Amino acid sequence: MKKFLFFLIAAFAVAGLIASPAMAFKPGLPVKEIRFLIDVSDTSKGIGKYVEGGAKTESGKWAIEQAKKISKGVDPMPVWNGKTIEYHLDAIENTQDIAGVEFPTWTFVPKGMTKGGQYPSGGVPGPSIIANEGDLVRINLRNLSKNNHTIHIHGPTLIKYDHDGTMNVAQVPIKIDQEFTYEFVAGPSGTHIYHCHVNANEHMDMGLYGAIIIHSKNDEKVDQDLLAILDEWDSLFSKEEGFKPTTAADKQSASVGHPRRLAGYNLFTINGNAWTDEYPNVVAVTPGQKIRTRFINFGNWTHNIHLHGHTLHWIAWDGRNVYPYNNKISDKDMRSDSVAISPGERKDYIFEANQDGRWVWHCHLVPHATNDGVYHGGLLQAVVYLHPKKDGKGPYGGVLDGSGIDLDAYPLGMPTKIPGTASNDDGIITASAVK
Amino acid sequence: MKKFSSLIFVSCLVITAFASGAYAYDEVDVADGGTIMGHVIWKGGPVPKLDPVKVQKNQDVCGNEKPSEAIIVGKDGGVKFAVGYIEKIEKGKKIVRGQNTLLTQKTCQFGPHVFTIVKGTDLDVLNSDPVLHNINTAIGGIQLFNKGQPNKDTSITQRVRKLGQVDVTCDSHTHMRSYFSIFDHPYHATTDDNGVFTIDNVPPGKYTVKAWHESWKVTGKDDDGRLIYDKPVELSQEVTVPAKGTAHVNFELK
Repeated sequence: MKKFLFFLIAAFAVAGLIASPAMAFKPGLPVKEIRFLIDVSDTSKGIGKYVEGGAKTESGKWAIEQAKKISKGVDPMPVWNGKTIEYHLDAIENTQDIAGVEFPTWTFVPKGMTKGGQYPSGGVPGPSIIANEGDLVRINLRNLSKNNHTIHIHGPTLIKYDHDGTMNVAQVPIKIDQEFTYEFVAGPSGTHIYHCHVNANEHMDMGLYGAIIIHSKNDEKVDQDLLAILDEWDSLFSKEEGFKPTTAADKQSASVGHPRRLAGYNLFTINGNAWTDEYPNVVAVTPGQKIRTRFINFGNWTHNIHLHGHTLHWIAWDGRNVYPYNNKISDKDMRSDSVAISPGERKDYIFEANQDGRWVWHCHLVPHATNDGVYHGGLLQAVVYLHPKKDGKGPYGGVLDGSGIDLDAYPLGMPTKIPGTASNDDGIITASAVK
Repeated sequence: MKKFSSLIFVSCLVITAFASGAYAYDEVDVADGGTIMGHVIWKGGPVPKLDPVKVQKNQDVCGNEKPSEAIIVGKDGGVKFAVGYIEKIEKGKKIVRGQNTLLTQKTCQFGPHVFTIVKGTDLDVLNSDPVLHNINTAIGGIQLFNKGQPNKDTSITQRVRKLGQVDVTCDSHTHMRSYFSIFDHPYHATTDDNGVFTIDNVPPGKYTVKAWHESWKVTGKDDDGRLIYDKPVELSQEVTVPAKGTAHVNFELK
């Protein structure tokens, strides 16, 4: 273990330096930082805090009463359980590096952060709002940016219309230096979303979104509960192209409208990170684990994320169980090896880690598994099996270090030469060799 | 297992914390900018005489050998092909975009031998030779891009999107070598024949200025017969740039 840790830390440290150009090429991946999927297994993983007291807003009180009214029926909802969980968010302007391309962004971040969000630089996606079924959820949003914003609570139904966040339909947008408090009762359980609903085509594309996860005591017990948010980016709207986002002073950007039409997206992210060999997206598993992965598509294009070597049980769609799944996976479930997901959808899957090795989970609209057309990248993540020991010696298997995934633990399949063939200096196989 | 997983996670968090020093360069109007004039001077005694590098292939186009460009010292000791740059600057003059940087391949030699470029801008690579070249680039041994150019008088354009010191080679011609540095700001330059670099329109203030040189000490050959040099030389100086004035800084190579 000591050796492994030393190697891990040393390799990361070395990777951060500019190495000698004469350094030999290394095998494997030049990993600088692993981007694990977001752990949303319980409320302690979020930035929310349980607080004393009930609703502070009239709309929150209305939601509590509404929950009582519709708690029974075809689509049963929870009633308020007497607990209140509170989140504080700021809307700020930010920048985010996507596969080396720097984008101006607008982001929701934890209150008081000038950068941040999921990663120190960036901030897209915003913090996950995690609650238990029946909690009163309170989100206070401060607007510290140059544009007007709202939060639309997308999925939960125990909410009054005036906390729904749609610009000039549900509420007046929150202007610069203003704040607004949203309250709703957490239900139905499952995977939901929140996003700005002011000029939503532009503001969502700039990054103003995040996940709402509502847990139920009836949820199937899993070993990991992970979040994967998909999105697309168009480098035309990056700093390298000289793009500058609009401000409220530009009349809500109506004259610019980013993007005015579906953009030419050429970069693709999971939780704000496009796969590069330096920053790979990783699902680290141990054999025998049961993994729940919640996919959200916050982009404008459809994706189809294919997992190699495993079976996916489709358990929930937009926060509702998919028949016949009833909180325990079985061979009767809707099963597949891909996640086809349209914009705004949420789809939850459970897979059993019953294999070993390294497997990829990538968009099968394969241009989305690139960074600006360069394969591989973008919507790609690796499922990596970890083992604590091998033959009594240290950890092995999917050991992600600075020089790459441990090739000794999982040797790559190696091609062999076709007997009798030969090629010239330019790599062209001669006719006789083909024969 | 839980302990093992948490150790990995904690390690990565630690790394993340270290990596969080990344910053974005803000382009602003600089009203009273000053200039940094740097001079890279050879102080290592007699200038090393490096053997010409033998050409292994296409001698009819390339010639039989090429002079080494690893150390070029002018009359007054100025060292050509060093890079001077401000190590860290968070805001300053605007980045010039739309003017591509040109790297040529003529008679099997890269030109210029050393240059600088800004992340997010384009590099044009021109092949003027009637033979196949490929431009193989790497940062710290990790490939940046590798593209073949089989045809004469053709060029490719590559946008650079990583930061670092890039090593450029041609797999067809092992004698060919070039270097370029990618920055996220516009405050950098390559030394001229007199060993001088000039960085202008710098907001007044204190900076760390660095000089990079590829190194002239051959330590061996790789599997393809390509010369391997010692670690590049990096020197550092603190300077204070006055408003509308010039800060002078000297670097000595020994």
